[in-house]
Amino acid sequence: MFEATKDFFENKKYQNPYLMKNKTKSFFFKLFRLLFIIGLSYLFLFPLLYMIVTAFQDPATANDPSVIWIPKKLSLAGVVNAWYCLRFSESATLTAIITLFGTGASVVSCAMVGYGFARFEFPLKNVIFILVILTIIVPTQTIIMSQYLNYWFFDFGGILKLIPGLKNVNLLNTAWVFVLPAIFATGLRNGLFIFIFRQFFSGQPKDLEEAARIDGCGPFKTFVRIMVPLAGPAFVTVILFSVVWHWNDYYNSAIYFTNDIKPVSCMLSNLSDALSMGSATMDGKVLFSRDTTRYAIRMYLMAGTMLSVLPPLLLYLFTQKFFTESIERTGLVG
Amino acid sequence: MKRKPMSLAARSAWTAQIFILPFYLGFWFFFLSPLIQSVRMSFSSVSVDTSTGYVLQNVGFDNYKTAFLEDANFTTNLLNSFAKMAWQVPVILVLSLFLALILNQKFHGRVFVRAVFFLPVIFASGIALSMISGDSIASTALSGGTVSGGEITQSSALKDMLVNAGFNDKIINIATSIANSLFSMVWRSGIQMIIFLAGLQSIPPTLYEASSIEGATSWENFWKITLPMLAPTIMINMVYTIVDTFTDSSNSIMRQITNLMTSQISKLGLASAFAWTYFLFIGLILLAVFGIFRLISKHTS
Repeated sequence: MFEATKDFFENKKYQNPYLMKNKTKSFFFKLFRLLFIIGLSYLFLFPLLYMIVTAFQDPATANDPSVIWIPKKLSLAGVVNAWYCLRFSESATLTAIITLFGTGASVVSCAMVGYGFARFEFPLKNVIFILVILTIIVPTQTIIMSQYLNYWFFDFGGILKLIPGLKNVNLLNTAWVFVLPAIFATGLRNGLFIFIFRQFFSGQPKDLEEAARIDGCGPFKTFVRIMVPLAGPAFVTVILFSVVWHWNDYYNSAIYFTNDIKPVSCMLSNLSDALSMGSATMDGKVLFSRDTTRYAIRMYLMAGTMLSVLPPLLLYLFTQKFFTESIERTGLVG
Repeated sequence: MKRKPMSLAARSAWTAQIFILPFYLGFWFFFLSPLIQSVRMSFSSVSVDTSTGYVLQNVGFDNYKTAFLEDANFTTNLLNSFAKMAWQVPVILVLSLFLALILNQKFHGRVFVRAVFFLPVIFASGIALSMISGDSIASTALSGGTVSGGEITQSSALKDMLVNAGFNDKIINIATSIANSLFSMVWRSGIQMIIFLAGLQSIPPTLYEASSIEGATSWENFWKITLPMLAPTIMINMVYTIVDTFTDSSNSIMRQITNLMTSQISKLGLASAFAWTYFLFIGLILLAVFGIFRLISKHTS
């Protein structure tokens, strides 16, 4: 943003003694900025590093105060134990199903709705878009209680009752509680996704669509063949957000999942509660007892946390470059 | 049978309805009807028969009476969450704007710094962050304390400084609590930072060029160009932050509502009453924010 200014100053043609004074000033500014960036990077990287270091510590040396960054002895005990307590293979499979289908459905439905708002004129358009904003603003906890009962005795607004012999189905503890609203563009933070897609599509030039229309392409074919391939950056942003939010979701999962196998975030919270009580048993086997030191507890907890953030972290590492670039090009806001 | 062909505008309007159809259905089934039902629930007592379904029985304003007059924690929790919001929202907004301004500049290693600064977006929404910040050693080390011999000594340098400077207890408490929660504040400003970044990039560079030629400094540019041009972005971020702070699941009142819901089915009515009271307060605050921004935009234009 200050590029224009900077170019102006650095251009020899414009340099005069008055403007030269800015050079010392800009040196201090740069130094100041560098210090800030280092400090903030520390603040952002610290939890990650701390988590990884603590997770791989040996239980025997976990309470050694001289160990801050480099463990004296590495051990997988924490990770293995946390894997067992979180029932990671089962809970991660459940969370992966929720994330995969929830994200898939959200992306398809929100792209369609966003395109509808961006490219067509119809009466009361602005009023209807306020409804989208409303789904962002109204907090989940106001509707989650009646949603809980609705999913427990789900009949799709009375439609299922029309089929003889079928009264209602129980959707609690299934991935449907996330996927079903996502199909209808009202899933997890879908209002925001509709907003992002609308912003993106309305920023695209109309020429391509008009050309396609003239060549006899219908509106749906135009959308799928022309607009979707163009919307790469918007799709990357929405997919990454949606995957992360589905995977990390705690509030909805804690209410909709009542069985033993819950999404990873809930399992982690349960583990933390069990550890703070001082003891935990699972299937009759004592995992922690009152004499487990708080250092070991810390180790188990960090190992569990590491397992739970690993999938989104890996996804971020691989898509990071693509993601940061697309954020610039999506133009989230007007 | 021959039909009169539709006008272009009418056909386009109908096509739009097909694109938006999923949202109409979703809005009714998964938003509006649960919303209406939860209003009804807040005026009822809920009982469940596992074979047939649930029954709502009208009890009038009893749930609201219990919330305000009988429950010992509700009003205190409500007031606490407002006090928390009042200082957290401005802090988060300033921090995220600051981060966005840094990231928006060109410097060496910017790609790496960006990747690091976007990390909060990946974790901040999860329970992982509360695990790490709940870890006593990690949070003390971050807020400037020292860990010695396994015992934690909270750094009180800031506190000593303020006491010596003669501030009163209230100001000292506020200042130290801001310093201690700086970590969680920075971590919660991820999305806001991205929104600000997008807003900054939408400001046409010609404005800066023109003002620099007229002799304006970067400082003046910030106050006279950047900030006014960001006004809509600031409003979006403010609304997002308010909603986010209120619905944070570590919030005491959110915790109370969740506990109530998961404890007993018969408490669902009371929990709805809590949630609605809470939501109405949030709604009032949001309306105030919209009103203030409308006044500002009228005033400036």
